[in-house]
Amino acid sequence: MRRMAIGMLFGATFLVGFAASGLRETVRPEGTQIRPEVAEESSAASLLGQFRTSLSAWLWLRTDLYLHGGVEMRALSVQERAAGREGVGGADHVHDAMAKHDANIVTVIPSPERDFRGIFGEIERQKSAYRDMRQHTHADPEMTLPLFRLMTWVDPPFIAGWTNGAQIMAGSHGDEGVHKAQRFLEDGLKANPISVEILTDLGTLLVTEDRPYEEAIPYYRRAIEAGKRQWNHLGENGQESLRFAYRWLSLIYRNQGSLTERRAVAKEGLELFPDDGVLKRQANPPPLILRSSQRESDAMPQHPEPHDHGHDHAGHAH
Amino acid sequence: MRLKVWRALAWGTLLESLRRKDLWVVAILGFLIMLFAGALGVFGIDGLEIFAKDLGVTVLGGLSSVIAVLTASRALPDEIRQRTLYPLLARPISRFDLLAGKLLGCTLVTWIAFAMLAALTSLALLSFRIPLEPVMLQYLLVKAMGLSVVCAVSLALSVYMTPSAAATLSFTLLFGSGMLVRALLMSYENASSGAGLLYKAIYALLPQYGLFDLGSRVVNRGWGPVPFWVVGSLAAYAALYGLAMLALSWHKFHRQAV
Repeated sequence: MRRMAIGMLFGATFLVGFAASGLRETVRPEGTQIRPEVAEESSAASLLGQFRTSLSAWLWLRTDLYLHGGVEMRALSVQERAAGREGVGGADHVHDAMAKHDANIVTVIPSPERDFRGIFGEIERQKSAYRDMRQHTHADPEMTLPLFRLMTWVDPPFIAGWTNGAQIMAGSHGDEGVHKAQRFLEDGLKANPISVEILTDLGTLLVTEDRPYEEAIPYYRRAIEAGKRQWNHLGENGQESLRFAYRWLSLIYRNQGSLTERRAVAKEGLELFPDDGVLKRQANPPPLILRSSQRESDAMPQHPEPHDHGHDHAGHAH
Repeated sequence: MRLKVWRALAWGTLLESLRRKDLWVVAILGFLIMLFAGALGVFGIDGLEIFAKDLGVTVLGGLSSVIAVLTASRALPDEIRQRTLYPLLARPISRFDLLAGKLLGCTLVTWIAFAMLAALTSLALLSFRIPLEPVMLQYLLVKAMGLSVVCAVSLALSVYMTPSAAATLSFTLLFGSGMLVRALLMSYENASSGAGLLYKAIYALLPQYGLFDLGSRVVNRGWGPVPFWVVGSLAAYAALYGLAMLALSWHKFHRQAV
């Protein structure tokens, strides 16, 4: 009886193991962005992959640390946010993402009023790189560029390294910086040909730097195609990039006067992002009489603004 | 008289470490530091000065702590295993003297290794023309104090458990106590008064290795030396915690059959 039970157990284990290979397509569908298959067949390659991922993540954390002048920061926990605690915030809100980030972070070493350790807490504050970070500023982001190059060299599939590094490059050294950023993103695209974030950022870089729209359109088209294919596996950043790709593309078509394409792109985008204000407006333009009164402010702006700050900014030129 | 005994025992521990070629390990680790620095140099150091300094200080702190744990957690068990403890105890020295001498010896070995690694790290950084500021001296001084606490904890644990278990637990405390302290700090605000007391007790018992690391001030720009009262307080804490560990070791060892 016992032998039979053991035999059945082994048989069941074998069947589960055998059938598990059939789940491959479910857990890793074709078209999703996955590390090279070699990592599945070679333990050395797998270890190397894990090593480089860990290394790039560590470099990413160090970059954040250097930007804050060595003051260690952490995200607020769910409980802290539920209790109404606010982040330190930043004084140089040059970018929405950074402002959002700063609103949700606090120093790792607590301030004296939040520290139960008495003199030990004071010693830690004195011996560490610590200061009150309320409404803090950041160190010059340019100093972190070599780290972005290093982390993307170590771990090419690390998308955030490519996109953030490019943003910093584009923000410094004028035209030269923009060219550098474009080359950097194109290098990133070679390593990650179906990355929605990189494709969208490439398009946006071209649009915002006064380049002809025709140069940006293919990137947005590719981003949308890649995004649709990977929709079920896109992370928060990927989805946000896809939303921006739809917005930018429909706005570009509006500026070019291609109203059919404008509406088609916006309607397609609304299928994935039904609550998006910018896409709604592009899909259903206001009546003609209202549009004519808007024409002066709306007429062919240099750069359409894709942001949706709770209300519609689609006609706003910056 | 006691000081003479402790000095002799410490000297014996140092010679034993040299005989076991422990310091060769340090030399190899130092060579690895230089090799890694060379690799970074090939990649290009421009703009990576802070990162190179960060890496140097992190590796220096990590390796010297590992050496402290390995040296101290083996010191006493090796004497018992090789039966060299009997002739030692046959002499007119107390078991407390033996423990104190061993602790001093382990601390001495660790400090020598730390000095060697610090010299190599400084050399590597200077070869990249990365300047070292006065706070680096404070870093070395305070870190040396912290290493003596690591030795004391590892030695105490080796009296209560096998050398492997002592080393494992020492490493867990070394690398995990910082994380635990962070967790306690985060949880304290929303904790009940009972849980708050428990957190305070855990914090008081844990060795605060993190307080002896001035690395963040050394690495990042614009941070000067720390006030002297901080260095003095850390020295007092190291002495107190070291004595407490020594007392804990003696509590078990003075009636232990060997």
